[in-house]
Amino acid sequence: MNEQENQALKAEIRALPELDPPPGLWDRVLATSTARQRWMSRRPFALAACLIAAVALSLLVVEQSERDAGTSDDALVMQASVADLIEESQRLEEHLRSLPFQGAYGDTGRVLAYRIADVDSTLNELYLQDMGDSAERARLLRQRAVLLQSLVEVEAQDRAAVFRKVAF
Amino acid sequence: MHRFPQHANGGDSVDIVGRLKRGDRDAQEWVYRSYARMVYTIARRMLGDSGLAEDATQDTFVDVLCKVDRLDHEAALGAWVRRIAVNHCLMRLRSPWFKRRETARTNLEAARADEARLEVATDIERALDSLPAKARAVIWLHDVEGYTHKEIGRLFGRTASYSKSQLARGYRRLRELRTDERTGKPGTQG
Repeated sequence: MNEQENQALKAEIRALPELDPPPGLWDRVLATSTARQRWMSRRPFALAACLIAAVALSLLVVEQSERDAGTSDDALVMQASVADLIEESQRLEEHLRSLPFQGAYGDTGRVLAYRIADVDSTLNELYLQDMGDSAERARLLRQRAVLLQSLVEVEAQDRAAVFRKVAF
Repeated sequence: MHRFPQHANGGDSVDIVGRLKRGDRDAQEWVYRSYARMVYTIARRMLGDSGLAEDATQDTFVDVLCKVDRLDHEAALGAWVRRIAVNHCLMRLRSPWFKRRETARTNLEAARADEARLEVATDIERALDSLPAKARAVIWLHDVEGYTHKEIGRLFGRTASYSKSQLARGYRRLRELRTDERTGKPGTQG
């Protein structure tokens, strides 16, 4: 009975019509892609500098966490299995969700969030290429957990700064 | 599918990818007009929010135009665009930004934002929108996009069992919503 109902629901979902994107979206796509391409072609040095800065920041974060790992609970993160790393990521995301949201991340938080999105994108590519069990996957998951931990810490610092402003 | 503009290349659509790589504006617009509905539909169904779907659609096409050098065969163009779209939706579903937004957004705000659209939506659309984000995405990926449970599990950083349980949970909720509608019970906003 349930299976029949599921099949009927599935048929209804598959029959849903395509939706029209909002008007004007093409203009925004064109403007954004043109700006990005122009910036990338005319300012290769600026791009390189930004990339280097972003990578350097991430590496600093990862290296700092690796150094801390020797003396803290983060050691578990650095040596954990893939399953443990996924679980750790989920735990940190839960923790992040539980924190009162300030409305927006600061500059450092934003860079970290972009890095996490980059890692997610690369992980998705790996999954789609059926390379989900590779050492690369473990490395990315480890990096993701470390970046998330850093984001949690940055948020805590931001909140403390806001509190100090309000208190004093 | 829109016909490739005649004036751009004498109607020859074989070299669209080559023209995209050269930054041909007609080819770019042709790709957008051909695939925008598909991409926006995937994003809207997976993310359950018109604003997020618009952002994901924009990001998808910006990637398509800026990263076309990575595409080798024109035959793969549609699948490539679709994959980028799914990727952008998954990035949002998995990203702390999306989760914070989901947490911060109350049901009341969500209902107001999509109120006009919901008035003309079908029962199944309303029911689908009221599902938890991941269950909704799993149903769409599995039953419409044709991903396997193994693939979906990996996309979410989990196992095939996770995908199966999300699918079963999603359908159970859809059946409950249907029953509520028939009996006139409240709670269809799930």
